[in-house]
Amino acid sequence: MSTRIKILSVCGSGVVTSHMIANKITDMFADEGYDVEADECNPSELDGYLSREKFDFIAYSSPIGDAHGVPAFSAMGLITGMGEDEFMEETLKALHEAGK
Amino acid sequence: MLLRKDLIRVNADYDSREEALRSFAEEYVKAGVVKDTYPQAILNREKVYPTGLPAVAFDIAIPHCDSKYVNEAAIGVCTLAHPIEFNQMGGGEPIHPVMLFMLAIKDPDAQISTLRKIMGVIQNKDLLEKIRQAKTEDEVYNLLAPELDK
Repeated sequence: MSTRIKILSVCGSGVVTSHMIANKITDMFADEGYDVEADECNPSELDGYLSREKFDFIAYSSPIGDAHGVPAFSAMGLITGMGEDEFMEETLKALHEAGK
Repeated sequence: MLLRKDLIRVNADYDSREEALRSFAEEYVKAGVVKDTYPQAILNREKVYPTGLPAVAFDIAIPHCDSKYVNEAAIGVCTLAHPIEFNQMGGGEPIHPVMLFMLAIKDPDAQISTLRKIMGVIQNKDLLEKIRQAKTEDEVYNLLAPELDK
Protein backbone atom coordinates (compact mmCIF):
# COMPACT_ATOMS: atom_id res chain seq x y z
CA MET A 1 0.00 0.00 0.00
CA SER A 2 1.86 3.13 -1.11
CA THR A 3 1.55 6.72 0.06
CA ARG A 4 0.42 9.24 -2.48
CA ILE A 5 2.49 12.40 -2.75
CA LYS A 6 2.32 15.38 -5.05
CA ILE A 7 5.43 17.23 -6.13
CA LEU A 8 6.27 20.22 -8.29
CA SER A 9 9.33 20.09 -10.54
CA VAL A 10 10.68 23.49 -11.59
CA CYS A 11 13.17 24.31 -14.33
CA GLY A 12 13.94 27.20 -16.65
CA SER A 13 11.78 26.12 -19.55
CA GLY A 14 9.33 24.07 -17.52
CA VAL A 15 9.88 21.44 -20.16
CA VAL A 16 13.09 19.41 -20.44
CA THR A 17 14.92 19.39 -17.12
CA SER A 18 11.75 19.43 -15.05
CA HIS A 19 10.58 16.31 -16.88
CA MET A 20 13.89 14.56 -16.29
CA ILE A 21 13.68 15.39 -12.60
CA ALA A 22 10.02 14.51 -12.17
CA ASN A 23 10.53 11.20 -13.88
CA LYS A 24 13.61 10.34 -11.83
CA ILE A 25 11.86 11.26 -8.58
CA THR A 26 8.87 9.10 -9.49
CA ASP A 27 11.17 6.09 -9.92
CA MET A 28 13.32 6.75 -6.84
CA PHE A 29 10.30 7.27 -4.61
CA ALA A 30 8.47 4.24 -5.93
CA ASP A 31 11.31 2.23 -4.40
CA GLU A 32 10.56 3.92 -1.08
CA GLY A 33 6.86 3.10 -1.23
CA TYR A 34 5.53 6.39 -2.54
CA ASP A 35 3.21 6.95 -5.47
CA VAL A 36 4.34 10.25 -6.99
CA GLU A 37 2.17 12.63 -8.93
CA ALA A 38 4.34 15.32 -10.52
CA ASP A 39 3.57 18.68 -12.09
CA GLU A 40 6.16 20.71 -14.00
CA CYS A 41 6.53 24.44 -14.41
CA ASN A 42 9.05 27.23 -14.88
CA PRO A 43 10.02 29.67 -12.10
CA SER A 44 7.66 32.42 -13.23
CA GLU A 45 4.71 30.00 -13.07
CA LEU A 46 5.57 28.86 -9.53
CA ASP A 47 3.27 31.22 -7.63
CA GLY A 48 0.32 30.26 -9.80
CA TYR A 49 0.88 26.54 -9.21
CA LEU A 50 1.38 26.99 -5.47
CA SER A 51 -1.78 29.03 -5.11
CA ARG A 52 -3.87 26.40 -6.89
CA GLU A 53 -2.61 23.18 -5.34
CA LYS A 54 -0.97 21.67 -2.33
CA PHE A 55 2.46 20.10 -2.98
CA ASP A 56 4.43 17.90 -0.62
CA PHE A 57 7.68 19.35 -1.92
CA ILE A 58 9.26 21.30 -4.75
CA ALA A 59 12.29 20.03 -6.68
CA TYR A 60 14.09 22.70 -8.70
CA SER A 61 16.97 22.84 -11.12
CA SER A 62 16.83 26.60 -11.78
CA PRO A 63 16.82 28.94 -8.77
CA ILE A 64 13.32 29.77 -7.54
CA GLY A 65 11.98 32.62 -5.46
CA ASP A 66 9.75 32.34 -2.42
CA ALA A 67 8.41 28.81 -2.00
CA HIS A 68 5.71 30.01 0.40
CA GLY A 69 6.54 27.48 3.08
CA VAL A 70 6.58 24.42 0.83
CA PRO A 71 9.77 22.37 1.37
CA ALA A 72 12.00 23.05 -1.64
CA PHE A 73 15.13 21.15 -2.65
CA SER A 74 17.71 21.58 -5.35
CA ALA A 75 17.48 18.61 -7.67
CA MET A 76 20.71 19.31 -9.58
CA GLY A 77 22.16 16.14 -8.10
CA LEU A 78 19.54 14.04 -9.86
CA ILE A 79 20.71 15.30 -13.23
CA THR A 80 24.44 15.21 -12.70
CA GLY A 81 24.37 12.09 -10.54
CA MET A 82 26.38 13.88 -7.86
CA GLY A 83 24.34 14.29 -4.67
CA GLU A 84 21.40 11.98 -5.32
CA ASP A 85 21.70 10.42 -1.89
CA GLU A 86 21.56 13.79 -0.16
CA PHE A 87 18.49 14.70 -2.15
CA MET A 88 16.73 11.49 -1.12
CA GLU A 89 17.71 11.94 2.53
CA GLU A 90 16.47 15.51 2.72
CA THR A 91 13.23 14.92 0.88
CA LEU A 92 12.39 11.77 2.84
CA LYS A 93 13.10 13.65 6.08
CA ALA A 94 10.70 16.43 5.04
CA LEU A 95 8.01 13.91 4.12
CA HIS A 96 8.36 12.02 7.42
CA GLU A 97 8.19 15.30 9.33
CA ALA A 98 4.94 16.03 7.54
CA GLY A 99 3.64 12.63 8.57
CA LYS A 100 3.94 10.92 5.19
CA MET B 1 16.82 7.47 -32.72
CA LEU B 2 17.09 11.13 -31.92
CA LEU B 3 20.88 11.34 -32.15
CA ARG B 4 21.90 12.54 -35.59
CA LYS B 5 25.30 12.17 -37.20
CA ASP B 6 24.92 15.51 -38.96
CA LEU B 7 24.56 17.19 -35.57
CA ILE B 8 27.87 16.04 -34.15
CA ARG B 9 30.90 18.31 -34.08
CA VAL B 10 34.32 17.37 -32.79
CA ASN B 11 36.89 19.80 -31.44
CA ALA B 12 34.89 22.84 -32.48
CA ASP B 13 36.82 26.06 -32.13
CA TYR B 14 34.52 28.78 -30.89
CA ASP B 15 35.59 32.05 -29.28
CA SER B 16 32.56 32.70 -27.14
CA ARG B 17 29.40 31.17 -25.75
CA GLU B 18 27.31 33.21 -28.18
CA GLU B 19 29.32 32.02 -31.15
CA ALA B 20 29.23 28.41 -29.96
CA LEU B 21 25.49 28.38 -29.36
CA ARG B 22 24.54 30.28 -32.49
CA SER B 23 26.83 28.35 -34.79
CA PHE B 24 25.89 24.93 -33.44
CA ALA B 25 22.17 25.82 -33.41
CA GLU B 26 22.44 26.88 -37.06
CA GLU B 27 23.40 23.28 -37.87
CA TYR B 28 20.03 22.24 -36.48
CA VAL B 29 18.29 24.78 -38.73
CA LYS B 30 20.24 23.43 -41.71
CA ALA B 31 19.23 19.91 -40.80
CA GLY B 32 15.62 21.06 -40.90
CA VAL B 33 14.82 19.84 -37.39
CA VAL B 34 14.19 23.27 -35.94
CA LYS B 35 12.73 26.59 -37.11
CA ASP B 36 15.03 29.44 -38.06
CA THR B 37 14.04 31.19 -34.83
CA TYR B 38 15.63 28.39 -32.77
CA PRO B 39 19.19 29.82 -32.55
CA GLN B 40 17.98 33.12 -31.12
CA ALA B 41 15.66 31.28 -28.72
CA ILE B 42 18.60 29.17 -27.54
CA LEU B 43 20.65 32.31 -26.90
CA ASN B 44 17.78 34.07 -25.14
CA ARG B 45 17.05 31.11 -22.91
CA GLU B 46 20.69 30.69 -21.97
CA LYS B 47 20.84 34.28 -20.70
CA VAL B 48 17.85 33.87 -18.39
CA TYR B 49 18.04 30.18 -17.50
CA PRO B 50 21.59 28.95 -18.08
CA THR B 51 22.24 25.33 -18.89
CA GLY B 52 25.77 24.78 -17.61
CA LEU B 53 26.18 21.64 -15.49
CA PRO B 54 29.14 20.41 -13.47
CA ALA B 55 29.05 16.77 -14.55
CA VAL B 56 31.00 13.83 -13.14
CA ALA B 57 33.86 13.97 -15.62
CA PHE B 58 34.07 17.68 -16.54
CA ASP B 59 31.74 20.64 -17.04
CA ILE B 60 29.13 20.37 -19.77
CA ALA B 61 26.08 22.32 -20.96
CA ILE B 62 22.70 21.13 -22.21
CA PRO B 63 21.30 24.07 -24.20
CA HIS B 64 17.66 23.73 -25.19
CA CYS B 65 14.57 25.92 -25.52
CA ASP B 66 10.82 25.79 -25.83
CA SER B 67 9.44 23.03 -28.06
CA LYS B 68 7.58 25.56 -30.18
CA TYR B 69 10.86 26.24 -32.01
CA VAL B 70 11.32 22.58 -32.85
CA ASN B 71 10.04 20.76 -35.94
CA GLU B 72 11.18 17.30 -34.98
CA ALA B 73 13.09 16.05 -31.96
CA ALA B 74 16.85 15.73 -32.38
CA ILE B 75 19.98 15.52 -30.28
CA GLY B 76 23.47 16.56 -31.20
CA VAL B 77 26.75 16.88 -29.36
CA CYS B 78 29.66 19.21 -29.82
CA THR B 79 33.07 18.76 -28.20
CA LEU B 80 34.98 21.99 -27.80
CA ALA B 81 38.61 22.65 -28.67
CA HIS B 82 38.87 24.79 -25.57
CA PRO B 83 36.52 25.40 -22.61
CA ILE B 84 33.98 28.19 -22.91
CA GLU B 85 32.40 29.99 -19.99
CA PHE B 86 28.75 29.21 -19.21
CA ASN B 87 26.62 30.00 -16.21
CA GLN B 88 25.35 27.13 -14.11
CA MET B 89 21.77 25.96 -14.26
CA GLY B 90 21.54 25.95 -10.47
CA GLY B 91 23.21 29.35 -10.09
CA GLY B 92 26.59 30.12 -8.58
CA GLU B 93 30.02 30.60 -10.14
CA PRO B 94 30.40 30.26 -13.92
CA ILE B 95 31.82 26.98 -15.14
CA HIS B 96 33.75 26.00 -18.25
CA PRO B 97 32.12 23.28 -20.33
CA VAL B 98 34.11 21.32 -22.87
CA MET B 99 31.10 19.55 -24.30
CA LEU B 100 27.64 20.70 -25.35
CA PHE B 101 24.59 18.50 -25.73
CA MET B 102 22.11 20.65 -27.67
CA LEU B 103 18.60 19.25 -27.36
CA ALA B 104 15.69 19.86 -29.69
CA ILE B 105 12.74 18.35 -27.84
CA LYS B 106 9.29 18.37 -29.34
CA ASP B 107 7.24 16.45 -26.77
CA PRO B 108 8.88 15.86 -23.40
CA ASP B 109 6.29 13.28 -22.35
CA ALA B 110 6.77 11.20 -25.46
CA GLN B 111 10.54 11.70 -25.38
CA ILE B 112 11.03 11.11 -21.67
CA SER B 113 12.86 7.82 -22.21
CA THR B 114 15.41 9.61 -24.38
CA LEU B 115 15.75 12.34 -21.75
CA ARG B 116 16.41 9.66 -19.13
CA LYS B 117 19.06 8.10 -21.38
CA ILE B 118 20.74 11.48 -21.76
CA MET B 119 20.82 11.72 -17.98
CA GLY B 120 22.50 8.31 -18.01
CA VAL B 121 25.14 9.56 -20.45
CA ILE B 122 25.79 12.68 -18.38
CA GLN B 123 26.32 10.52 -15.29
CA ASN B 124 28.69 8.12 -17.03
CA LYS B 125 32.24 9.34 -16.35
CA ASP B 126 33.93 6.79 -18.62
CA LEU B 127 31.66 7.50 -21.54
CA LEU B 128 32.01 11.27 -21.23
CA GLU B 129 35.78 10.95 -21.22
CA LYS B 130 35.78 8.68 -24.27
CA ILE B 131 33.57 11.11 -26.17
CA ARG B 132 35.91 13.93 -25.29
CA GLN B 133 38.89 11.99 -26.65
CA ALA B 134 37.11 11.10 -29.88
CA LYS B 135 38.78 12.45 -33.01
CA THR B 136 35.95 12.08 -35.49
CA GLU B 137 32.19 12.53 -35.68
CA ASP B 138 31.80 8.83 -36.47
CA GLU B 139 33.66 7.88 -33.30
CA VAL B 140 31.34 10.04 -31.20
CA TYR B 141 28.29 8.65 -32.93
CA ASN B 142 29.41 5.08 -32.34
CA LEU B 143 30.00 5.81 -28.65
CA LEU B 144 26.70 7.55 -28.06
CA ALA B 145 24.26 5.74 -30.33
CA PRO B 146 24.15 2.48 -28.33
CA GLU B 147 23.51 4.43 -25.12
CA LEU B 148 20.64 6.39 -26.57
CA ASP B 149 19.14 3.52 -28.43
CA LYS B 150 18.77 1.01 -25.57
